[in-house]
Amino acid sequence: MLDLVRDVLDKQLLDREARPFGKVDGIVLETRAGAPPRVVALEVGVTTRLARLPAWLSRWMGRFARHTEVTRIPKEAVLAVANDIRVDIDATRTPSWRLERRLARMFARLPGGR
Amino acid sequence: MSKALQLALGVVTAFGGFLEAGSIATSAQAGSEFGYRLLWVLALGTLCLVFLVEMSGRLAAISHHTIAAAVRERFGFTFYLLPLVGMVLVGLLTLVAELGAICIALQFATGIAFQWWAVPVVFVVWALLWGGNFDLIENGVSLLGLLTVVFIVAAFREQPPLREIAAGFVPSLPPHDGGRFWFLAVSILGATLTPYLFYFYSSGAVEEHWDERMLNTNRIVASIGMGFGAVLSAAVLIVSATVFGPRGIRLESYEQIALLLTDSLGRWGFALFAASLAVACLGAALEITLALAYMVAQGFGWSWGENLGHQEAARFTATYTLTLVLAAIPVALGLDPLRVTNLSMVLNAAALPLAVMPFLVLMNDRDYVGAHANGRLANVVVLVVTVLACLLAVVSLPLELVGG
Repeated sequence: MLDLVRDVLDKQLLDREARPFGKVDGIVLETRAGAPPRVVALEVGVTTRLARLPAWLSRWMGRFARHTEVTRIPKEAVLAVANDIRVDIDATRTPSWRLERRLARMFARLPGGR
Repeated sequence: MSKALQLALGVVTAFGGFLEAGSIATSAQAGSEFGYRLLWVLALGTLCLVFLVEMSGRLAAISHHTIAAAVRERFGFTFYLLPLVGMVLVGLLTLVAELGAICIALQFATGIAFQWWAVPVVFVVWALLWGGNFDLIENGVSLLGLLTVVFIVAAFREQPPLREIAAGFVPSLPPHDGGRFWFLAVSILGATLTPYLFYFYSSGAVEEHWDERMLNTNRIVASIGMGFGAVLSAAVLIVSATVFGPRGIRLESYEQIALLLTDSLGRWGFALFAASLAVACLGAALEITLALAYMVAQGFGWSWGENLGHQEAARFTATYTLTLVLAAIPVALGLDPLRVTNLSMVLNAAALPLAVMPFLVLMNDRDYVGAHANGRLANVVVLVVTVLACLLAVVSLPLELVGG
């Protein structure tokens, strides 16, 4: 049986091409009447990370961090939970990749950019 | 690459990459003011460093995690912010010290004031990172660092009193000026135990895909490489004690420290000192810049690695670029490199628990290291030296600032 905090939260996420695209910043649970909550999705993003901090720190850091769109990975897309978590998505099409893509485009224009 | 060659290269790079601005400056200052009496602190710091480096290689080989990634995973994001922020701030200051020392070496060579060299030096460091790969950074620059062996040559030529040197390895209390003695003691500990060193080492081990078969190599590189490396620091201290000690000179600038080798090596001494300072600090600047980018990228789960293309690890590339830009500013503004070096070494010691304590927990967690958990000796040595370094730093820094 998985321990969500020990085995899932803060683990490295790899997409279907084994690209690292973030850590599991949050786990979305669904509560059900008369039954234990169940995992619906994993989240990656600044907003989710900030929500985990103490309120004063979250407020203070929120001033500097832009609240970006969170990447939500449905439970069904999770392929394997081991040392890393493999998911069946294309990370380059998620909001988590936006900055990476912008920077990559910029570096491609510099001499020697590879 | 054959195992023997890999081992030899590992030892040579650990040796050649050992000296940097902090170890040169603090050892020279300790020797000039207190003779050989602080050699035992250097030995204590080195013992702890050998354990820490061996541990970081072992963690990487067994768990395939770097220290930064494992700390984030094991302790969560909220906790991870603490070592991340602490180490990034102290690491940046240490980088300023290394860049400043390279610029000072160029000032010695050209006569042009050091602050004018800030931008060209940062550009060269960045270009090496941009165009090079991990082997070039780790092996190439460390091989150049073998030039620092001139300090050992100078130590032999000075014919220092061996009995007094041996006595220096026995812990003793200061004969005078206790505040300064402990400030230099903690500076030596900070310079020997800079956290970037073992964070960099663990990242390198993961980048080179170490596994359980590398454990013996790791043990030998950590103990012999770092052990011999510390001989270089000891040589700086011994030469300084022999040259400056009898004259009662307190070293307060790199211009004074630069005369370290002229007594034993004549007119070549000055040039060799400048060249040694430049190559040693260039290696350190590259490693610190990478170590900081590794910490950030691994903590946030981005793609990272000096062997990857810039477009495959764009945020990692952006992080080391930004790190260098930030570190160039204080140097270009003319902040005294020696003062920055002294301050950064003490702050390294003060921040040591942030880097070491979670790492120590990981090395005793069988989920990460299985049957290769730390022994009692490693735990005790690392814990005692870390706490001692931090306490000394917290007490001696305000005293030094008020007194100085």
